[in-house]
Amino acid sequence: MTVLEARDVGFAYRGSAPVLTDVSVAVTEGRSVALVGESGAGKTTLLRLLLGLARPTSGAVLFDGADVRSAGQAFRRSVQTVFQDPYSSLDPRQRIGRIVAEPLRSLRIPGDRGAAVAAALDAVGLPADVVDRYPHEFSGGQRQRIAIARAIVCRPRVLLADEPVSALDVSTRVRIVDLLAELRETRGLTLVMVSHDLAVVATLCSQTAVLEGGRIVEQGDTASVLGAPGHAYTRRLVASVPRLPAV
Amino acid sequence: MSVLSVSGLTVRGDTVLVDDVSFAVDAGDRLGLIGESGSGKSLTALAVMGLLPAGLAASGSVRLGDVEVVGASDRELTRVRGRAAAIVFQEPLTALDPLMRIGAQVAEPLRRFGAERGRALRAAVLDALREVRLAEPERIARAYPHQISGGQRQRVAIAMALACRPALLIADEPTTALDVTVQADVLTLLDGLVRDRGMGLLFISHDLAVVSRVTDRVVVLERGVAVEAGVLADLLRAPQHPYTRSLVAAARKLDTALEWS
Repeated sequence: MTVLEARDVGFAYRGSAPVLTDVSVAVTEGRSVALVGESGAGKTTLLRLLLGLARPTSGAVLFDGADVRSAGQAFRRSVQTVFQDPYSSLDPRQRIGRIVAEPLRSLRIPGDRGAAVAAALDAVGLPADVVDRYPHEFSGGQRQRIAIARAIVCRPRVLLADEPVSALDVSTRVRIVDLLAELRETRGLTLVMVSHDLAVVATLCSQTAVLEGGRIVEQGDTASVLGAPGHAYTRRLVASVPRLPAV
Repeated sequence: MSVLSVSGLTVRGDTVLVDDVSFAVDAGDRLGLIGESGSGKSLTALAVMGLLPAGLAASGSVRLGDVEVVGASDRELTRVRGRAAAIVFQEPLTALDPLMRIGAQVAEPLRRFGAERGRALRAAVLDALREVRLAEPERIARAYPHQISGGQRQRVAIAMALACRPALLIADEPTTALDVTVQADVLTLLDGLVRDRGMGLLFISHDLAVVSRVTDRVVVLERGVAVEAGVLADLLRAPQHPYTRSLVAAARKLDTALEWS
């Protein structure tokens, strides 16, 4: 079932060349999607449109078949987000408990907030006593876990993530990728992820859409898009990834 | 002869940040310095150039050619920097003056180290831009840094480093901020330039796959300590130290995800 969809979407800032042209991507529940491409390809803009943070110049963004910008509470609760930089996405003046509970407050979700926060922290592998601490007391990887806990505390169906592991060291990156894979399985979470890291994409997403210059040049099963690319740009992208020498 | 010889290098602030690190780079030789954030790899590079920030002090020995860097005066260091060693940083914008045209910035080291003037200098600037495979060197020379792409800026930064005719090139995560296709091109460029000029290369990175593109020998740093050193192929096959093992395992895991069959 299609949960989130960009249909023939175009986007341009006033008086500028289009950022996105005729982009169509459908997110099926349970099938995680990666948006790949390089700087300026329009990945983040597309993610912002999917989040309802910006209105497409043409076309429509639909959540459960209705326009995201009128979907309101149900949309906010079902679609949450994680950003690239775990340093800027957490308010430094708030304790972790309050940060993670924020979606519960702003969406006025009834129930035991403390229990929901504890469950979310447990799901991302953090001990319950972190609730009294502040963001600066944590490493980059731990902060990204906190950001993920905040995103899943209201039990969303879809997690939109913009380069969620690019700011992290490689061993931390692997651990956060493992965590996202686990949440995808245990919580039935569908990921929509912007990434330039094809190894991360290949690990987490069964579907891949390749953007170049604001257009989707290729999309489909990750294994065929990245394993046997049909478009010249995708071939160049795949060939550019530095690989470890064979042992 | 070694273009760089580091022996017992220690960098202290409030705590010890680089602890008794030793390695050497010969002319035409390439060495990778590997580690994660906080491992001390960038501080080691800055210490080699005598560029440690205020509040940090180096001890031990760093010899660039026949000059001892540790304890040297600013005047001595000014003579060494550029000629004995030049450095390229992760973010090329830090190396470029935003208010100055690219051509004028590339001309500066050329004038200082090559003594060209006037028309000969302008020709040398265009040659330097051509050597780093910048298409349309005339246009780039007239442009300001914000008017060109990140990959073009990094090529300009490399051109400025090379203009000094250094015996050793230090590259500190030179492709980390670049797109993957641009990274591939810049690595190919660096690889060729180092070979053609017979320079020594000290290449700093957290990414084993990137390092394997340009060097075959590495030192692994963990929290300021060189925990393992050797030939990269051996280290990938049989890492000895637990930290190296975890780095290799993480890199392998991501790399394996790209095997399609």
